[in-house]
Order: sequence, then C-alpha cells, then structure tokens
Amino acid sequence: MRSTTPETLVAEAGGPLPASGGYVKILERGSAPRGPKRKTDLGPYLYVLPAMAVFAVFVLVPLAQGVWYSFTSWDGIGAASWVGVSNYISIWTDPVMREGIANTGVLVLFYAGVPIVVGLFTAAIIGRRGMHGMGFYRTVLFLPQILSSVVVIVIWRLLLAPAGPVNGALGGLGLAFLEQDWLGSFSITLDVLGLIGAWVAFGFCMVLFLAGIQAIPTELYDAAKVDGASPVREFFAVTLPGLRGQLAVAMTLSVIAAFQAFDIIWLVTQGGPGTSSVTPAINLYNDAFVSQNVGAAAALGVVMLAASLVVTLIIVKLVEGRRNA
Amino acid sequence: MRPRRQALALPALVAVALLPSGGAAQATAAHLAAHSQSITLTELDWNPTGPDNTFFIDVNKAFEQQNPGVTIKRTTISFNTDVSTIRLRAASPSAPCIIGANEGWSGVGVLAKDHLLVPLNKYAAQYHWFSRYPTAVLAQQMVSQNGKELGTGNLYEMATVLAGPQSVYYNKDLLSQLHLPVPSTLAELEHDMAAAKAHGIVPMELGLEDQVQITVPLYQVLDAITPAQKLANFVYGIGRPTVASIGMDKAAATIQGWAKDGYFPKSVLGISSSQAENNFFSGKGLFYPAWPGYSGTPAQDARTGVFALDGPNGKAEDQDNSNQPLGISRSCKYVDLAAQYLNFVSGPEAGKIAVKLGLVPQIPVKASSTQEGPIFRSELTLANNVAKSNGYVPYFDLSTLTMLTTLERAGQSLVAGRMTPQAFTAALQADYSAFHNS
Repeated sequence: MRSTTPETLVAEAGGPLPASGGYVKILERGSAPRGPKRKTDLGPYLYVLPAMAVFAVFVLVPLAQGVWYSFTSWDGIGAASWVGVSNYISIWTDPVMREGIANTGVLVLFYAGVPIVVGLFTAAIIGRRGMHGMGFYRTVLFLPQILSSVVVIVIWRLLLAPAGPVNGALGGLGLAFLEQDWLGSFSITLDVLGLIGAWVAFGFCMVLFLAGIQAIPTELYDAAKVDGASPVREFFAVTLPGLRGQLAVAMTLSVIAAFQAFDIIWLVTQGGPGTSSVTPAINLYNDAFVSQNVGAAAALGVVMLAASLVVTLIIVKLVEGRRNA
Repeated sequence: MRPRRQALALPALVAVALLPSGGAAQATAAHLAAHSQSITLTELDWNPTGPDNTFFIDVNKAFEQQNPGVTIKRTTISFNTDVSTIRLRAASPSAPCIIGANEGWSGVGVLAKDHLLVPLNKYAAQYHWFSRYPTAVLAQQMVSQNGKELGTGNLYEMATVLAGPQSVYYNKDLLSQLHLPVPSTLAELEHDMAAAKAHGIVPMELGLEDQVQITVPLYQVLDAITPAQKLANFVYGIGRPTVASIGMDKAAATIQGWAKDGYFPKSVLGISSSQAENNFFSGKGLFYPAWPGYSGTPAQDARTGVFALDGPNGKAEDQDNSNQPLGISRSCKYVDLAAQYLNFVSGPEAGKIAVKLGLVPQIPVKASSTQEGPIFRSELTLANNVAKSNGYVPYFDLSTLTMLTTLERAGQSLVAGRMTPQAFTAALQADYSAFHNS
C-alpha cells in the first residue's frame, strides 16, 4: 500500500497544480491526519443512497425474509411456525430433491462445459484476423440467445418429435436404429434438454470470447507467427491465456444458469418423464406453488443461493489466483 | 328470474339505506338501477382463449344488458397460472370480487380454509342452486366449517354452466371397418382395442410428454370398476379409505397392461397431448381419451363420436367438474350483486350461450348450436346421461394438494414399465397419507 500525498499525486498528474483551486484543497484534505474528531463526509453516501434503498427493498429485505421463512412451516398466506432446520434436512432426505441436485451436475456439463468449449472453438475460428463474414456468423450464432424460451421450445419440440425431422433424417440416412423418443426417455431426455440449453447459451459465450480475442494485442499473434506457431499452438499459447477473464465470466454465468435451470425444462417435460429431469428450481416451484410449502421452497432457494455464491467464489479465486501467480 | 330480482330490490334498498358504510355489500343490480348508480364488478377466470373465452365475453355482456349500471371488468389467466397464484390473488385486499378457483384442495379447499371466500349457502337457498345442479357437482365446491373436509359443509363456489367431463372419443370409420359396436364397458373397450391392434391400427392415441393426459384413461378405468360414491368418499377424505381400496391398483395394472400390449402409440412418452390429438383427428387411432370441446373440420366431425365407460352398476358415471367454478372473495364489496352474477352464469340463459358456442352445459338446455355436429351431439347426450344418473365423480387428483403431480410423474413410470402397479399405488398412497396426516 502506498501513501497518497499531494506530492505523489502532483507527480502522477505530470506537473505542478495551480496555486489556488479545488484540486489543492481536495488533496490537502486527503492528506490531513486522520483523527477521531474528523467529520465524515456524507456526500458520497447520499449519492448511492437511492440505489442502495432500492437494492435493500427489492433484494436484501426479501433475502432476509426468505432466510427467515426457510426455518418455518408456512403456506404463503397464514401464520408461519418455526420448524428449525427441518426444511434443510428434507432437502437431503427427499429422493426427488436429491435427484434434482444430481441432475444439476449433469446440466452444469451441458450449460457450462459445452457452450464454453464450443464457444471457444468457434470464436477462435471466426475471430481470426482476415476472416470474412465474421459479423454474419456472429449474428447467426448469437441468435438462439435472444429467442424467448417458448420459441426455443416450439422449435426443438418440432425437431425432436417422434415423427419429427431429427428422427426422419436419421431414418433417411439409414440410421433408424439411432431414432429415439428424445423428449420422452428416462435415460436421455435430461441430456437432450441440456443440449438445448447449451444451444441457447453457446452464442453468448462465443460473443464474449470474440470480444476478448479482439482485445488481445495483435503483437502477441505476430510474435507467435514469427516463432512458427501453428494455429493450434497459437490458440493455446496466446488466445486461451488472453481469455482468462472472459472464461471466468462465462463460467460463472453459465454455472449459475445450470443451477437455476427451469424454463426450458418446465416448458417441455415439467421434470419428467417421471422425475428424471427435475431440477432444484422445478422442485422449488413445486414446493412453493403446488405443495404450498413456502418454507421448504425458501430453504431450497437459500441452498441454491449459497451454492451459486460458493461456485462463483471458487471460479473467481481460481482465475484471480492464476492471474496473481 | 326477472320478477324475483325485482322483488328483492326493496329489502335490499332498505338494507343499503340502513348501512351507510359497508352497505354496498347488499346492493343488487335492481337497487343500483333504481338509484342510477354504476358499479364495476371485477371477475377472474382461466379462459383466455377459444370458445370458453367467448362464452364469458357473451355472458358478461348479457348480464350487463340485463343490469344497467353494472360493468364487469374481467381478468383472464391460464389455468396453470390460476392454480399456482390463486391464493395470493384471493388474499390481496384488492382481490377480484368474483374469482375462479379450481375444485379440490389446491383451489376452493385452501381458499375456504384460509377464509378467503364468502360462504354461499344463503344464495344457494335463495336461487335454488341445489335443485338446478346435480349434488355430485356442487359437493365439489363444498368445504367443512373447519376447513378440513371437502364435499361437506358450506358451499364456497358455484359451478358455472360449463361442464368438463372426461370421455373417450372414437373414430366411427375405423370402428365400422372393424365391425365393432361403440363400447360401454371396460371389457368391450379392451376387446375393441385388441381388434384394432390385430389390424395394425393404433388402439388408443395418447401423449404423455406433458404428463397430464394419463389421468383420462386411468380415470375411465377407475370409473368402470369402482362405484361413484366410493370414489367421491376417497376424494373428500371420508373415512380415509386407502388408494388400493378404491381399485387404483387394478386400474394401474390395466393401464400398464395396455401399454405392454401396445395399445398406446410406440412413443407415447415422447408425444405431447396436442400431438396425440392431431394424430387422432387426422384419422390415425381408434380411441382418444380427453376432455370435451373438440371440433374439427366437417369431415373430422362426421367421423368422430364420444362415450364414457359405464360404472360398475351399469350407471353412466364420469369424472367431471364444472369447467369454471366461481366464488366470491372476502374483499368483495358487492356480495349480493356477485351472487346474482353467479346465479346468471350458472343458469339457463348462460346455458343457451354455451350451447350456441358448442360448449357442453352442466344442465339440460334446449337451444340450438352454431357448432352443432356429431361430436357435440354425442357430448351433449353423454353429459345429460351422466347428469340424470347423478353420476358425476370428482376428479381423483383433487384429493390432495399434490396428487396430480404425484400421479402424473408416477403415471409416466407406470406406462414405461419402470414402476409396478403396486409401487404406483404406494406412491399415491404416500401422497394421500402425508396430506391427511399433516
């Protein structure tokens, strides 16, 4: 930690400050010795107060209420009664809850792993200098990201219907043995839903990585070329390290999306067949709006929030740790 | 109806005069008209599209015309949204005056338990609702005083005239190709399906990707093997019968047997109910279990009929409820007027509007329909037969808050052969016991 004095700041500013003026006063005030009697400047706090008030009313207070309700049995209307940690215990003892948690692990692979790998690959190809039509590819590949979930589901339900184009194409290619009940199978429907989620998320990852690639100094690529690096070597030696920040963002957002997976799955299978594609978010919805057990839903929400925070911290720690290393 | 409403005007007027605040609760349309007052009655239902939506538009218009000064401000949402949000909506101080909540514990049960609805006993007596509707239909809107039992106690909602019986559609052309009569018993249905299968025809179109359609064939079998009263007692929790004691294990074994015998389409779990409907009406399957209200091209209409299996005593029995029951919210300021609306929307004039739009009414209505075709005539006959025998059975899944979800999930496993009928029954029993022991 360096000390901040008027001299150092003046030196950084590149020249002397005017003999009189606001800068000098601010700098002098900034360098004044700190003591218990010093008045706190409330100005900055007043500036952020409106935003903090909104944040508190719409985020912090509901969050605190949610945590409180997670320790109660509450049907959403009447009086809540304290039940301690039983709502949290039931998350681990209820087989459907456990299945939802296990399914989240699978969805992380599809919602985070697949879009990041494919997004990196695609960005590396279309982000190369001199690539023609980059804007077109970027737009087309980003399109799924801006479609509403309902539209996405209409498209994929048509494609994956038992007598739909996907099975039709497989049959036409002599691969009829590969035809499946894509959205009605206990063994593969979760994977198929994960792939639909990956298709949606991939465009976002790709655009993020493309922006990152464009921010990598061209000198590094030139130097790699001079050193005789192949495109693959160039990717691993220059592009990938340069995208560390974007990777952290993509990973954080996509893992959280996997934790919160709801809309696509709800619109297609509602967690079925059976309970093979349930997720914590679907269980939360059922707890809150079907079972009318808002306390249990709140407990699940708190666990999901905590898990998201932990994962985010781990990802940030990994990236920052490497950056500082 | 008109003379009685006018006769009510005087006492209502006196009541309003004596009650400067809160007196509006006593206001009837006649009183309002006499005082040139205008009132907006708010109403919430779950019919945002189709002929059901048109029914409410037309009924509200007719009610407004008959009651000058009254405007109905209607909000319409999807059924699923209604089920999941109705308690919050009803608990709001600005709740709609007239609210549509489903029968069973997820709707009228919890609303009555939380005292969010006005008891309608007084109005039921005033307007003779119990002589207008089969008891089996109105019992579905009743909740005990302590909020712990369904089917008894106070009437908290009134059935609108729209009926919602589950039934089985059949393809007349295919049935005649196979030289088979329309089945009325479970044995006849199974015989027909076996014959269809032998001739390479899909015996029963069904789509379970979106889960809910499993209820229709399952309930048809249940209705055929278990007396209506026994099923009603189970739903209402009277005597806490077990799921097995009402024949669910046998019904589940029957459905699983049909799946194993190939009576459903090959990809039944991957087909949505709407795809199954398209398959049937395009002429592919022999039977299609569903709710009423289908109409297609004249050719499709001409070749389609509808039936429901008879109960074990040979009576016409069917799982059914009002397609849109309505209650009056606790925060309603115009309770008398709202009750007057409920009387109208469940009465013969509303019935005529329903029939005109091709919707099956709960009560016998003499009217012609612009939509009248063979399907609609079959549906009308079926509804009349069930009403005559008081054979309406509450939907099995109304028995607990979560029974529908439990049944839908377990139903997919049952059809896929991943769950035995015994395990299926045990899953439903666990749901029932958990609810009643909580």
